[in-house]
Amino acid sequence: MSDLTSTPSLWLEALVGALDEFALVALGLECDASAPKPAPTNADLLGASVDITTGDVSVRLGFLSTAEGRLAITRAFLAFGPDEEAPPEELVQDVIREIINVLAGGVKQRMTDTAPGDFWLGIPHELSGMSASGTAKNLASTELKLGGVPARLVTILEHRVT
Amino acid sequence: MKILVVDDSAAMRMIVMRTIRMAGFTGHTFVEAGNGLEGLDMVETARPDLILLDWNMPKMTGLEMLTRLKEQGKDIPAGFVTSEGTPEMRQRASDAGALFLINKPFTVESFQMALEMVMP
Repeated sequence: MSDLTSTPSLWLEALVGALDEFALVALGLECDASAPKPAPTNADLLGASVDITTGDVSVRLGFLSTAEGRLAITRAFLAFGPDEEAPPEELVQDVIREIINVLAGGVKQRMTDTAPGDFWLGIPHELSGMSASGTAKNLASTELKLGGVPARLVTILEHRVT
Repeated sequence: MKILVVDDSAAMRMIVMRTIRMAGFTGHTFVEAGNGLEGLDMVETARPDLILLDWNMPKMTGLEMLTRLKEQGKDIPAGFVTSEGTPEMRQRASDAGALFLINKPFTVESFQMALEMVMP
């Protein structure tokens, strides 16, 4: 295992880079690294996560936003016009899971460049703000704005028992 | 031409079909499947002329589905639309018989380039 892959902040940096690219290419939105004020509370945040593993390290990559934010991001992702009805919650969850899936692919590409090795992606799952918070050394997160709506990116690193 | 889109995200299937039309490939019909197993069933029932596959899906991955089709002697043109875009994954896709790999996030142009050799 590379020391690099044991650094949560390095994974977070790759995740931010992947979101920057995704926002531009797929959403047509600006990704603004300045934190929203006030920052949303953990209870207000919901999103999705996917695990990426390499060697004995497993990293959970998370993307979270508020209900309004997730709706706005979904509308942008699906290129909904202003007159189109709001997408149902099931479709919103599907879009958020797909977004973290695409971001994970971007992280994998970036980490492969940084620390060559085998990286394996899992299947996306729902993630709550409450379960993706804390100050543990294995967790790194950043608040940002995506097209003006609040979002949080999270990386949670675990050493797998093999 | 009948195109089978296999992806566990209904939203992504919607976007893939829309992007194909935006790329100028109009007049084609689409059928959908949510994973590789459903995709194999859809090949039997719908007889598609082209298959677009996601890579990571529950129950059966796109790579496993393509491998199974080749083992069955079904040589249907197929390619991946996936977030798995590393050189290693591109090689694995090619080795399995995929004609192209479109990396997510994609553009209309990336679909034009990939599909112009397999679609009229």
